[in-house]
Amino acid sequence: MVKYSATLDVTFSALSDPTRRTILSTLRRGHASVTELARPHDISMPAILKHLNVLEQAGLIEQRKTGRVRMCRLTVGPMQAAADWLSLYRVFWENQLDNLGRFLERTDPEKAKKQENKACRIPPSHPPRRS
Amino acid sequence: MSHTAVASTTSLVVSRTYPASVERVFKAWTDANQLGQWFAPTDDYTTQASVDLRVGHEYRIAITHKGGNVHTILGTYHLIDPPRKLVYTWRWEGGPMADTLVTVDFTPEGEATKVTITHEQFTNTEDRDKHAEGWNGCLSRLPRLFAPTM
Repeated sequence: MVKYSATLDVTFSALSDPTRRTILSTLRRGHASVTELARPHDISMPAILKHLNVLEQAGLIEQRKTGRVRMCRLTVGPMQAAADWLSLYRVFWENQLDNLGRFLERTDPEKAKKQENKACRIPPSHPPRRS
Repeated sequence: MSHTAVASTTSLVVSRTYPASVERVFKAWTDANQLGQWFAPTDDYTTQASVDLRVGHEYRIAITHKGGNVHTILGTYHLIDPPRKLVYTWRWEGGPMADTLVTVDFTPEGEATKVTITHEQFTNTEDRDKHAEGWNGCLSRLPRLFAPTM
C-alpha cells in the first residue's frame, strides 16, 4: 500500500527547491532529456542529476535510459495527493468563512438596532382617518 | 503543548475580514450554539456542536446531511487566547486519519476582524505510520462534504 502521508512529506520537501520546481515546470510540457532539463540552469550535470534523483524518489518524475540518453517525465500521483488535500480544505474553509460572514451579518447587534430605529421612523402606512 | 517534533507540514492558509468586533467573531467560533448556526457546508446540512473551551479538552462538531449521514469532526484545544487565537487538533471521527492542526488567528483591524486559518497536516516520525493509512479514506469522503455552495 502506498504510504500517502509519508509521501506527502517527501513531495513537499522535493518541491521546496526552485531548481526542482523549474524542472517540473519544464516537464509539464512533456518528456525531456537530462541535457534539456539542465540547459536553463547554471549548475553542473552531477547537481542536476542529484535534483532529478530527489524528484524521482519523491515519485514526482520517472527517469528512463534509452541508449545514452536519459529521459525524464512527470508522474502525477504524489503531487495530486498533496494538491487534493490542499484544494479540498481550501474549498471547505472558504465555504465556512462565507457561512461565518452570513452568520455575523444576520446576528449583527448594530444592524438590529438600526433596523429598530428605522422601524420607529417609518410612518404608519394608513394615516389615521379623520373623523 | 508544543509541536517541535513536527518534521514537515502540508499547510493551507485562508483568511477573511469581517465588519464585526474580534469578540463577536471569537464567540462565533467558540460558543457551541453559535458554531452550530454557521458551521455547515451547505443548507443541506445541520450542525450540532459541543465545546469544552479548555486547553486539553474536546470540541465536537457533528454535521448531519438531510439524508441522515453524519460526519463528525473532533479535536482537542491546544491553545486558547481569547479573543485572539485558537489552536486545536482536527480529526474526522471514525476515519483512519490522524490529527491535523488548525490555528485560527483573530486580528482586530479597526472596527473589523481578520480571521486567518492555518490548517496543517503535520507529521513526525512517530505519527507517520498512523497517517500513512489515512489518505485514501479521507480524501474519498471529503468531496461530498466539501462541495462548494452553488
